[in-house]
Amino acid sequence: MARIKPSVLKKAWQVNRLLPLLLPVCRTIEVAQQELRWIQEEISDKKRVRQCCLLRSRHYPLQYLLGTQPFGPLDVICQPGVLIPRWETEEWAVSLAGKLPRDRTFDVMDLCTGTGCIPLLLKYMRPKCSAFAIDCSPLAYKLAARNSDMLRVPLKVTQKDILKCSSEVVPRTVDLITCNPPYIPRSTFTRETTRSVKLFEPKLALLGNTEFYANLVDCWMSRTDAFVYEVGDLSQCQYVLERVTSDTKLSKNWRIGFKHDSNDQPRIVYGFRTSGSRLNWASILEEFGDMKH
Amino acid sequence: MLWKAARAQKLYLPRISVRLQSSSVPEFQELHPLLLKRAEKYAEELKTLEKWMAKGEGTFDVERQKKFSRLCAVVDSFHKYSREIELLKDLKEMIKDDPSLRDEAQQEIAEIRPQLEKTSSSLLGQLLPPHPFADRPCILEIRPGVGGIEAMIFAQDLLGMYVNYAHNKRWKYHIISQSANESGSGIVDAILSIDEPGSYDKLRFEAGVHRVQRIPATETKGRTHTSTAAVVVLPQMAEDNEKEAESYERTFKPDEIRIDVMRARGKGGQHVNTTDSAVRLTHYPSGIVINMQNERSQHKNKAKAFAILRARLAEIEQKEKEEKARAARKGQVSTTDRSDKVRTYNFPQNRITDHRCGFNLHDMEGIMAGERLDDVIDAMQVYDSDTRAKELLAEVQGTA
Repeated sequence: MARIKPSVLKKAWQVNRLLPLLLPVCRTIEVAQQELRWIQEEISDKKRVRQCCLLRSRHYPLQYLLGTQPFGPLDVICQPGVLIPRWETEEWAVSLAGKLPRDRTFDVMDLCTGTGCIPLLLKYMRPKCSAFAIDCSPLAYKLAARNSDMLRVPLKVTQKDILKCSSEVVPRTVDLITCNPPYIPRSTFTRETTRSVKLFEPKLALLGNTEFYANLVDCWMSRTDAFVYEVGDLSQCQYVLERVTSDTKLSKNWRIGFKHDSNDQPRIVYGFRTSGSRLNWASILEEFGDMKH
Repeated sequence: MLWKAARAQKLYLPRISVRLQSSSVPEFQELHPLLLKRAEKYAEELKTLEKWMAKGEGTFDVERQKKFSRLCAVVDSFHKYSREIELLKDLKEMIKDDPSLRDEAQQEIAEIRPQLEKTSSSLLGQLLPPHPFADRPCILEIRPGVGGIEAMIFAQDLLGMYVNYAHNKRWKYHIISQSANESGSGIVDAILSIDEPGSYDKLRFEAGVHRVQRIPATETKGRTHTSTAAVVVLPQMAEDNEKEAESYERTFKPDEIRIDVMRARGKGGQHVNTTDSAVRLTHYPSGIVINMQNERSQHKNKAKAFAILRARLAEIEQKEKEEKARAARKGQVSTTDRSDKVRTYNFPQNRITDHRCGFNLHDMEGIMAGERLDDVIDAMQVYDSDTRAKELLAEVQGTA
């Protein structure tokens, strides 16, 4: 990343003494001004604003400082120790919620829920569905429950480690499973994640490779009619596709698709049963992404 | 009131100024006979419609009911107008025939005149078709033109003026987006939404280039500078909430619009926790590009961008329609909405001039505080109905 020129720092200092603090993360004066405005809108105390800017200069996430992150129409509470909802997740969750039927009842389960943003959004936009959420972290469990209370969106949260005891989770079967599992491989963690993520976000929610996708094929596909999993890399999409196509039984009953985000990165692997499901997933997810199988 | 009288002079053709012998007030001039003929046509139309409705044929039709109530209103004021004009004529006869009653008659004429003027101007207003977006709330876009930082400061002053104006009228308003220049002294662009239904009808004359002449705060040698700022006024077609945006988005074909999020390279997702929520909306058929970045929520930025796109497209469509109608009339009428420099704010002379209607006001403070903006707007409205009445006359004469 290019260094910030001293002349830019000086210029920023002339506009507002706090701006140079924000420049390392924001890079340009305009973005820094915008962020300062957001901080000032949320926090009225001048001393506290300064403290926030100081923390921000050390790459502390703005979402933890302000305490919330907009997620579609909702403002989700964020706390240190729980992953901040990303715009990519927001994008696909809003698009998915828009495709789900308005007038049908169905069950949605979100694994590795974190703040609970995905099931909360689905339940908020489709009030007739029942939403369940699971996370292994006690912090995330508490925060998801708190978010559900604050936003007045009913959500049943359970604290369980799905890699160890997924069979104990109730309900036994659901219509849709969503998940944003940790998907950054340890080998690329230092190279490809930004400093703010590396230093201040929980590794538990970040580090992982194919274990959750293996867990999906092994445990969850038999218990659901459809799934939507976020991925960090095309190889993770392909892993799921290969596992499904190599299994004769699964390959007969399931269709798999990939979806890219608006930054043109592979972001979603999704799939649905072709027969025997309660909802007609083939038509619901018709234009969600590109079918691969 | 002065310009109202001036307007009356312009409108009440033919322009023969006969003066009453004892009074210096100019003679009241009747509406042009062709305009009255048009009103008579409406009356006939109303009669046939009434007959048709009395028969009870057909089902209830909202459009027809609307037309009926509009016709009723026009015909009502037409009857009122003819009654009053009849009375005026009688009184004048009386003056001629019987000099002994002259004083009394003249007194009565003086009494009914204000009423008659009111009736005739309201009849004229009703004969002119209303602007199709007259009942809409509006969106104002303000951008600095030539003049560097001074233009940015002036753009901010204009924004303040409209905010004050809305405030004085107790209209609800909110700033959709505003970006300050680097030094924070002015604005690079701002979008103000005024949520009062009907505000578009008032503010649509604000569209155009506003020129300022003053000694800028940035000037060190005391010279007067001329700078400009451009104002675009759009009818608000829907609220800028997410639901509206979503349903509106679905009306476009996928290859017509493109939504870009401004992101750095890299893998995205969990790898970065950026706060950047800027959205760029491109509409290919019209070439409109809208950038929106004020909100922390990408979702809200998108909704706002769509609200503005909708307003711009509606405006373009309306302009095209007007243009077509004009071309059909083949009239070389000067337009009030496309002309460039619409108004000058001369600070040293404490003067505001509207170049379209030639209206002058010497109260800079009152204007910038939004208190006297109504004076200018009213003058523009009169000017607009003038030109439109002329167009209408030309049209009526053409068909007659």
